[in-house]
Amino acid sequence: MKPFFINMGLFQAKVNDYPSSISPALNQIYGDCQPKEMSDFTVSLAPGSIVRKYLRPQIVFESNTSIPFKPLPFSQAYALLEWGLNWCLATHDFNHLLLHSAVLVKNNKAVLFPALPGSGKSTLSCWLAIQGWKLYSDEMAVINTDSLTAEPLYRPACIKNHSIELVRSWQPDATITKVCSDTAKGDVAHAKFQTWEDYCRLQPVEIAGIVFPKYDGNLSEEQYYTIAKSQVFEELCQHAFNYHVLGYQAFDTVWRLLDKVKVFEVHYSNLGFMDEFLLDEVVGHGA
Amino acid sequence: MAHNFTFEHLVQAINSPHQLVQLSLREWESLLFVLKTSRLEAYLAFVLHDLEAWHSIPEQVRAHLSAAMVYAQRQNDQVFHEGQEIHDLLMAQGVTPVFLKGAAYIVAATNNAKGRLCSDIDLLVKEDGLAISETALLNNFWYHKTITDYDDKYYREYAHEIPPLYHLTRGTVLDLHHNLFLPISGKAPPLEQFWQGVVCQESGLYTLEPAAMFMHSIIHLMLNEEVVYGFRDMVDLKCLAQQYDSVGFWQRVELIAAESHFETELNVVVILLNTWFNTAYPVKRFEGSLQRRKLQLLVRIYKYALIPEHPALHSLRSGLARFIVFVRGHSIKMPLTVLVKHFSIKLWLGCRNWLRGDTTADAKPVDLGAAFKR
Repeated sequence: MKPFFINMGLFQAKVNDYPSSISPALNQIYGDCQPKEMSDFTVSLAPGSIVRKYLRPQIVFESNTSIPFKPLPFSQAYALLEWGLNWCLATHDFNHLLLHSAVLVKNNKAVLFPALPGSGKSTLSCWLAIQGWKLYSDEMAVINTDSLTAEPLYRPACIKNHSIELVRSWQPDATITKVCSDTAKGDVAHAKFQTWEDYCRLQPVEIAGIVFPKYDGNLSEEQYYTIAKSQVFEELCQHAFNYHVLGYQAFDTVWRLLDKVKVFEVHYSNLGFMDEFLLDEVVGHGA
Repeated sequence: MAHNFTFEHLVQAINSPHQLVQLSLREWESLLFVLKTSRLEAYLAFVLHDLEAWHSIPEQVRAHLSAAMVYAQRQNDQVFHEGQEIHDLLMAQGVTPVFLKGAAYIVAATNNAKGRLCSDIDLLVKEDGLAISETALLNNFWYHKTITDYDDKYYREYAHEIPPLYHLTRGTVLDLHHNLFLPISGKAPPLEQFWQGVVCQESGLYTLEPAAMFMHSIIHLMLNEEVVYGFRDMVDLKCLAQQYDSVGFWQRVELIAAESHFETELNVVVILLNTWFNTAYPVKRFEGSLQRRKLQLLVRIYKYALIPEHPALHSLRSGLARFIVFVRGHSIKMPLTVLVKHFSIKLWLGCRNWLRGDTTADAKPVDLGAAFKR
């Protein structure tokens, strides 16, 4: 089997072994990327054991001889690959501060959306991406610890449950993978909003703001607050994948970052409000 | 080399790191994957970082090496911090804790300390201080995870250590030993020589003296049934031998080996060190032909068994050698009757997990945030 190369921009994974059932998704999401000579990760997706190849089939993610997760049902193979790639980045990149956060860019300014699962972060990311924002990352903010800029990743957004149909209704021709049903997060699909060519034009950009979004459909009026930076500091440290490894450097990076960005918590029911709010209050309307 | 990376390439990388600048990106890729699996990436990163060659290494490769150094340095700091706490806690109880293996190299700042990863902290206390130490640790944020009654019995009755202790908030794993090998094996070394040379390091923490450290590393490597990081252990031994090489050091090593009856193990390791790392350390000549043949056989087995378990380096020979080491390790550990019982229980549990397709019984379930942060 010929390996499939996933060039995520900063990193490349060589997928040595994978079930043919995920080929369409692989090609949809990463089919256009240009492979580099050297891969940073080597991964494979294979059945757990001979028994589980036929009996309630399972799939195991392996990266260079380590198996970080328990097997998942075979039908969730593609989602497992994407989660596995997150794991690869989070456990190997100690040159950047990695925050569990979406990164959206407009007018050369980045906004981070660090958020807990269920806050509507990915749905918001997709909506903004469709509105012309650049999706630098849906899951992981890669922050340069010297320049405090956000680096782009060539990765899709992970959308769940009801959001999958929402995204389809917003952009009927959106690139969305086949849905993996009944995962730990419910129904999951991956959506991509840029081509490799688009991605190659992206540059690291300054981070202008950190916004904690909270979607609430019952809200009659949008509400936003500024938050004490000490409180945000603690939240960001908890949202960092590699804070415990970077130690002082992570502390220092988060501290310097907070010193220069605007921080908001926004409760919204109307996505259009978010676009306007971010332009007005965080990134500006550009030149 | 990219498509046929061999064990010789790995050994060469350790022996002549300055030559690595000639590698192509493809060759670096193979080397980095094998180094990661062998837990030698950070070691080599620190070696390269001190060389002029560092700046000639491609940026993509340097990113890996830098990340490995950050990770290892953090662990290094943690070992010191954790070590100091444990030291203070046990000293207050009148027990002198002696750090072993990885933690000891770091505490003693031996030549292999930079970049040395350790999955746990190993500690030796005198047997009469064991109960006090365990109680003191249990009263200070350390706890035992629930293990099967069988495993608990195994530790308490047969082993040279108690079940592992975990730190409640930091998750550090601590193995508390009262001997250097399982007493039930009948091969546990007399500890007088080991305790006699205990040294207080600059940090105030205790370790074995260099020769005893070297010998304990050999005992651990040669008597264990698993040699997953066996090649890394050989690099440890290479560094220690290089750092302490002197007539006095080797005399002391030989004395400890003779008194604890591990002369064959010592010879196997020294022969392999000389073979792989181009050294000429003294090998004691055995008189008996049976002893000589046993030595030859063990050298041949370990020469293959210690090849890192990475698909790129896999061969039938190394697989077989590791199986022999596995069987040998178990047969040394305990008398046959105990072993048969132990093995049957473990085999049954293993089969059950395999049939369930659960080849990853120790792995974590997919839970993004939590799995990343441990």
